[in-house]
Amino acid sequence: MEEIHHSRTLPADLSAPAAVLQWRTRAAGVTAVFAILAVLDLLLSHSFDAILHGWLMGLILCLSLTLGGLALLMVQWVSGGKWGLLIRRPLEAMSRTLPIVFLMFLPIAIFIKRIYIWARITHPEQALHNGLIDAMQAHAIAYKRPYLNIEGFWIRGIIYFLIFGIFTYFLNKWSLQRDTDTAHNNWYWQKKFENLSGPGLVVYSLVLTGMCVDWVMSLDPTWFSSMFGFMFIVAQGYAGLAFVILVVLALSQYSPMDAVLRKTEQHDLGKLCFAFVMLNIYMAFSQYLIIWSGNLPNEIRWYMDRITGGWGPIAGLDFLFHWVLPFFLLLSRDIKRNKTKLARVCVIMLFARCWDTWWLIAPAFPSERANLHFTWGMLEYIFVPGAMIGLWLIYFFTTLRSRNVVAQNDPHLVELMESQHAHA
Amino acid sequence: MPVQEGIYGLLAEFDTPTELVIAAQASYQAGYRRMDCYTPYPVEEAAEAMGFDEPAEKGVSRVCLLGGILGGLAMFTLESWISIWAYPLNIAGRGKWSWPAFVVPAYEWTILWAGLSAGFGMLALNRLPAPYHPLFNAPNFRNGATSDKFFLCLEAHDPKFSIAETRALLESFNPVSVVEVEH
Amino acid sequence: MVTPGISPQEPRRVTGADGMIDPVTGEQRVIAPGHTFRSVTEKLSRIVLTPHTPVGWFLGLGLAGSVAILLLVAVTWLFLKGTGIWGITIPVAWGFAIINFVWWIGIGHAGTLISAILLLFKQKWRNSINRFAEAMTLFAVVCAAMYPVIHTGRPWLAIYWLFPYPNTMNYWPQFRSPLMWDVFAVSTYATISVVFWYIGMIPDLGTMRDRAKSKFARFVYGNMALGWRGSTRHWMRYETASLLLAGLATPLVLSVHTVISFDFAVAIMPGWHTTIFPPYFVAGAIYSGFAMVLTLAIPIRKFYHLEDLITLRHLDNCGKVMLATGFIVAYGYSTDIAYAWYSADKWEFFMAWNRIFGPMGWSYWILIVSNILIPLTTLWSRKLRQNVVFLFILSLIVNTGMWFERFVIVVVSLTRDYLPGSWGTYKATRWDYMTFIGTLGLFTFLFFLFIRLLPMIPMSEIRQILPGAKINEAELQQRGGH
Repeated sequence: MEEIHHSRTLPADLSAPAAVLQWRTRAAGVTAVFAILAVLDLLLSHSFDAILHGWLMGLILCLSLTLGGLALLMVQWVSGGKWGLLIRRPLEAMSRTLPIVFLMFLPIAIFIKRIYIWARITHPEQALHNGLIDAMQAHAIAYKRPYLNIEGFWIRGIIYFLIFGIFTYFLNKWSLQRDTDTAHNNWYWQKKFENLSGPGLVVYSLVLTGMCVDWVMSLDPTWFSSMFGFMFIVAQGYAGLAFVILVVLALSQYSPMDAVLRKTEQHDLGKLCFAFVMLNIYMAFSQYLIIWSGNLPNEIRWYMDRITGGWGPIAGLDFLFHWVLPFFLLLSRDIKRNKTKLARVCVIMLFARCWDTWWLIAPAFPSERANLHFTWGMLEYIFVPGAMIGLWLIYFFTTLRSRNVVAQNDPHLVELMESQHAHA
Repeated sequence: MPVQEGIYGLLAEFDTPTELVIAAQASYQAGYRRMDCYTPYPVEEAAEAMGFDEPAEKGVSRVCLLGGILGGLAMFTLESWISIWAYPLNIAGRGKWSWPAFVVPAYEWTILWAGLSAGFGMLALNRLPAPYHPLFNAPNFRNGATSDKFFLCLEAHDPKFSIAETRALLESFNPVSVVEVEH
Repeated sequence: MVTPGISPQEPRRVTGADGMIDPVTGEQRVIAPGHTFRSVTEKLSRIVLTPHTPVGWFLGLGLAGSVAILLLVAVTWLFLKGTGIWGITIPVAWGFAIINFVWWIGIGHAGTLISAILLLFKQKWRNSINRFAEAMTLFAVVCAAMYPVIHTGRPWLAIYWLFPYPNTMNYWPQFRSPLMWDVFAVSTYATISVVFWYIGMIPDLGTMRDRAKSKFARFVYGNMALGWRGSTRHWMRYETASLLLAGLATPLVLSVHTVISFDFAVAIMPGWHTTIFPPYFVAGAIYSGFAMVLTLAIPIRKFYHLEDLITLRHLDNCGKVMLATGFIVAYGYSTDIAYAWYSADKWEFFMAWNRIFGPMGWSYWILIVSNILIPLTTLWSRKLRQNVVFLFILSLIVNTGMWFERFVIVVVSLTRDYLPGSWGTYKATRWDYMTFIGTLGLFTFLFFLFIRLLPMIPMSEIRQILPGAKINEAELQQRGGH
């Protein structure tokens, strides 16, 4: 029988526990170790390109934590619900890491010619003649030039960040203002956040679609899939949610989070994770099935690059980490309600995102296309993203510490103090 | 089942769910185990008060999971058998064992059989349909149990049951009425 | 559009004379104040158990029934003459039948969504509208499933290639075809919807049994209630089963329209073969389904005076869901066009051009106006979302728009594919129209029967959200001796 009748009180001090500083120190250690390894590996591989490829992977991963946070923040404003209040402050902290992601983007834009084939090949006809690319690539690069060009990449990239920055700025600013306001104005704030977040989600999905076409899909200029943007949006939610649950669970070892995190909401967050696990496999499988059935040369090649030449087991493991493990674990009610076990599932989910991003990016480069083999450069896919995520974490813990970890003046706060039930 | 005679239990009627939960809790603490509450909508607190934790019992969930797994496996196996041995066809050069295509019907059958198992499993675990039940003999039960009254029934086959003492216990909760229910 | 004119200084909206606005949140209430367990039971069971059937009901049923006769006539003629009586041709081999199939099944999806997803999300507002939304699902699936079946021309001969069973020809179905997937998706959907709907109704059938005065009604409802007596142990298993069914129905509803989108996307037709189809079809289905919920709920709440149970909050929330799904649909339209260019494939590009500016371009503009321009601009406004007349008209507009969306996808794509030599056009015949209008009649007819014979609002679920259902914890702790 679960504990049913007990009253709780909200602690007076709602600021982040001191442990966050410890975590930050640990993140700094991780960053240093991976950075050193990355440099040492460069000495062995003599490949600056490998660093850049790893960098792109690290960028996509950090981006998914930042923008996943922003998307979930807007979703919880629009949908309401107690779980939203619980994770609101960590989500805000995630969204505020946008500047560091922008800095991470700059090397990609600067060394664009070393990463994207359409930027490297300025004269497709000539390149085709010289045997550098095939006819399909030459056609695609020439045809898509009005969109895929270096100036456009820079301008769009800056616009993307500006748009995300505007939403991040206001959502964070208002949230702080709401804390100092009285409960009387709850309704006013609620509407204000809804009015920004609703259109915000529309803009978000469009901008993110553009972003994933620019940064990931265009790695192979011949390939296209209209669902890719959608998949990318879901991937942000998948990573963002797993990460924020991890943060909340870690915070709940200390005051004040231990007072507000109930089993009921933890269970809800677990269910939400389950929903993202399902949504992700739904998208991934639908895209695969449609392209597999159509079997058209300009589409199927993308998959062939990623399942032949040793990449098959990687794709299989991707499926295992991304769906099989989290799905069967999250089916269990006990796992969703147990802090340690749920945290482990979230770690698996985050690891799956890393694995998937590698599988998505690496086979796009000619040396690795449909040809998985060990090189020293390959290790940069571990070291560079590792160091970047460490850096991101340092920044994240700093932003997390800068505010109270529980938002105030929300009617749900009272409800979180009530007792809970088994079914809920 | 042999025809049962005599008393089935004592039925106390309450107006509010809170009173019911208090009574159920106290009866449980007094040592009664063979009891049940009857309410016009699910009252989780009542189940907790009687020490019945369905989510921990897991009966329905297990039946559902089993049904789902069997349904999915059955369809996938059938599709594979048909496409490889029973009636192999060459469709646009795809392999005989085209698993991506087979996933879809197998998925539908997973849901179909999981859903049927959950629905019918719930009924079976509840021993429904049961058109006759002794409680329907109590006139106030039929009047209120499915609309606005809350009932607690302490059953006669509980070892602690004795008409006088049990009635006294139930009376102490200030119910609207306490009636004997005949088999 | 931002809700204008709220400032922190302004007091919250005053509670209206009818008390329908919650003073704490400033939102419309889910249920009018003052209701008790008894009043809810009385009000809802009386609609069914009354001996005085309203005249309007007979009129409605008769009208719907006579329209449904059209369907009977059209289908009879179809079985006598074959599918040649329809407007389908080569290259447009899929005409009205498939459009209507997709349209109807899409409408059904809102019912499952309301009952399943909103249950998982613990949205209290679903409780008043889930039962009839589920009924809507069932009847829509009945109408939908009929189309592919009659499209086979002689359905009694189609069984052997639709269902895998050992037959004398030693023939087995071809499982790589999305049409086979349809068979399993739609039949599963129909079955699970019935189970979910029926299980949800059992406690209410118990109430009907206990409240019925006539012996016949007691007998019928008594048998249908399966002996439900409201035992707490039963309730707990029942709750688990409901949650499980909701958890299963949610991915099911997604999969059904996804499978239907595969009917198109798996082919390599320009305009059909695009990966955005699954999510975009699902969103479109929910969009049109919520429009249909409004089309039905608004007259019903007026006619049976249910404004206190189906409140403006419900209508407002339906509007919000339509806004969200409408934007996903709009996202689908835009990606369709964007990728038509980005694909670097001239047939894809021509397809998009043909849809918008081709000879049947008018249909594209109808869908843009009625699915995007009108709803997605007006639904931002809270005032309009709570305006009953406006919502009713809007729901009809969206349903029309969604029908044309399927027209554009099915017919316009087929008229002009790769080879100009095989281009054609399409014109529906009177039999097409009769079949379509006939299913509208059948749907309404079934719905009329439902609201008269079964409780259309789940009483047991409404009781759960009444203030009286809240356990007084202070009293419990004090008297429970903790």
